Amino acid sequence: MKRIPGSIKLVVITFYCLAGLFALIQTDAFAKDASTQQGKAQQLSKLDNATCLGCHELSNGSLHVSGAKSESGQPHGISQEKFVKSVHNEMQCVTCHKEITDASSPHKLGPGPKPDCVACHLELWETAKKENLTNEKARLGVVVRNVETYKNSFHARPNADDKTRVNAACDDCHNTHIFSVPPQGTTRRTDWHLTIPMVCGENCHADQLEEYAESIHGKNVLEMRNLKAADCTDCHTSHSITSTLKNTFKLSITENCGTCHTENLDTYRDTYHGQVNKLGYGYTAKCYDCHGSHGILSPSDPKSKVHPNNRLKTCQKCHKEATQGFVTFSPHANTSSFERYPQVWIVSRFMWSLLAGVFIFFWLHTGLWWYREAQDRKARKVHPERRKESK
Amino acid sequence: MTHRVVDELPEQHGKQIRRFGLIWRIAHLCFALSVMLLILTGMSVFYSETTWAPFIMQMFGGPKAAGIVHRTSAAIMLGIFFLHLIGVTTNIVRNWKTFKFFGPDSLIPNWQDILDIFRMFKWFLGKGPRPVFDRWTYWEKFDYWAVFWGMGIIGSSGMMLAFPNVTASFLPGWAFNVAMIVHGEEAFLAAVFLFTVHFFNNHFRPDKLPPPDVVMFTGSVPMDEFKREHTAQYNRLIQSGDLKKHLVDTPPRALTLGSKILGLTLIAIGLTLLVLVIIGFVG
Repeated sequence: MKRIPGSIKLVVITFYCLAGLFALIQTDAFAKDASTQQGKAQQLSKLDNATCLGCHELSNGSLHVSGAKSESGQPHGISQEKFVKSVHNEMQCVTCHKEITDASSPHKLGPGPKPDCVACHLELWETAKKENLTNEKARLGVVVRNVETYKNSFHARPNADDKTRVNAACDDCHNTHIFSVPPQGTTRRTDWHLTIPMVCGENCHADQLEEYAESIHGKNVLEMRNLKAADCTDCHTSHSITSTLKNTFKLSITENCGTCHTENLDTYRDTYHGQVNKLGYGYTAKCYDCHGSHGILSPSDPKSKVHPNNRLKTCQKCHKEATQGFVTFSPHANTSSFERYPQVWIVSRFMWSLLAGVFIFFWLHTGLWWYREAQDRKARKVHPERRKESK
Repeated sequence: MTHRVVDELPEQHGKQIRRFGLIWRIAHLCFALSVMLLILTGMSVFYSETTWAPFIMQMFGGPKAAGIVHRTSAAIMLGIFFLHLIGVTTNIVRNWKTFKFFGPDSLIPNWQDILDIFRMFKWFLGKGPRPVFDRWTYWEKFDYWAVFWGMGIIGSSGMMLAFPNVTASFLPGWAFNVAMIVHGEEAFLAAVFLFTVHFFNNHFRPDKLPPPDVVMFTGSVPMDEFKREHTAQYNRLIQSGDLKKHLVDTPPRALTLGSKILGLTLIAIGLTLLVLVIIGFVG
């Protein structure tokens, strides 16, 4: 895409905004007369944003343009108010909607391609690289990397029901017309972050959302607006999302849980479950195998899978013949807390003392021996007759 | 090592002193091989966060296969250990009337060993002559009894972990936590001890250079080395006139060469394992 100087952009945007406003007043004034509006739209030879918003503006109630229907039976409504705040606000509708070549209703689709986020973003990044602006436009690089990881993700694969579609395209998660990630630390950022479960759950993963809403994570996010609690992307990642059946997922999930539950990850890594997982094999128990996933509850909750009353059943998912002692095994024991794990505390200290004792004695023994024997040999070389004495 | 003529016994040219019988040597070799496999497979899990561990795991074909290798090696080791126990018990029972539990041919620690340790440290510090030893030095006795301790601790904790359903049917869950710690720490102790202290005592001290000492593979030592390393036993046998009973032919050159190759190979593997363990410990 060509680069336009900022000042000119500003003028152009102002012009478009004014034009849009003018168009709005116009359309509003003639809203009841659809044919007049249509005629007016056709008069506008330029397919600028104002022209588009003349029909597609969400808030002006003029969406019921005769014949102007999208797949859902409505023309696609765009909120200009939100659009101008989005990262794409400097763009023309037709820059992306290349297939739209006229302002008629319904549009007669031209030969141009449908909106293609990926192609445009790859081009933008290539341009930035050519102009040595990769530092200034680092964010574009992030998008390209996200695109790359997305391409290998489960979402990028053809949908099982409709092979012409992917499981989820960019705009299924990112509302392209209003897309804007607010700066970190702002309340808008918090609001944006808290929408994630809805983005994933509302249209596609409804069952998971329902279960999640009842979980300790879900209650914290959705009810208490606690950003620290996990939402979908904290566990599943966003762009590199994979099928949960894949080994890569089974290996990364423990790390993902561990970014918040660091101590539990550390202690998990001390057990055979965690060690095998770390080695790259996903078959041993992972966080969700014991704790549950979307419906995870606090261990003190009687319904939790790891509540003492339910624990044996949970162990028996893998250890079919598990006996009573499994219930009191501590999969997250540490050696530092005498109060919580007295036996482990005592035994670890005993073992460390044993090791220290053995090594201190024998390494001292070895070091001194080395020194003395070497000294004796040196003396024998200088005075060979001393060999007999040394015996 | 300079070859010295055994002038006191000129007729014994081409002879060496027998120290280890064939069964002991085979048992030691099996122990060495199985312990190395146990360390390799076990430490890959213990130090799973290292970069080398996943590579070793892939080599074995995954933790399940490595687990089978680990358990098989453990079975070999425990099997040899129990056969040895039976052998030793039979021997003691058979020689009940003449067997001296605290005598020089016994591996049971005695007062002399305590004295030897003190004398050894005195020599280290240049405050006394180099002590002389009988058949078994105190560090050799330690090596022998360390296996008992190791077998008991690593073996029993390993069994607990290998048969969790049985363990959990009569022990509380913390037994697993304890077994995990004991098994891992004791294995670390065994591995590092073997590849530093045991290797040094037998292969790397200045008098033993260049490695390896092949007595555990050939079974016998040259007379001059025997006189130097086990002077008290030598003197005792000269006095009693029993030295001849311990004389064997110098092992054929092929056996000695083979033993050296085997010895160096095992030392190289052992030192490699030591490096892996150190990487895991430091990392």
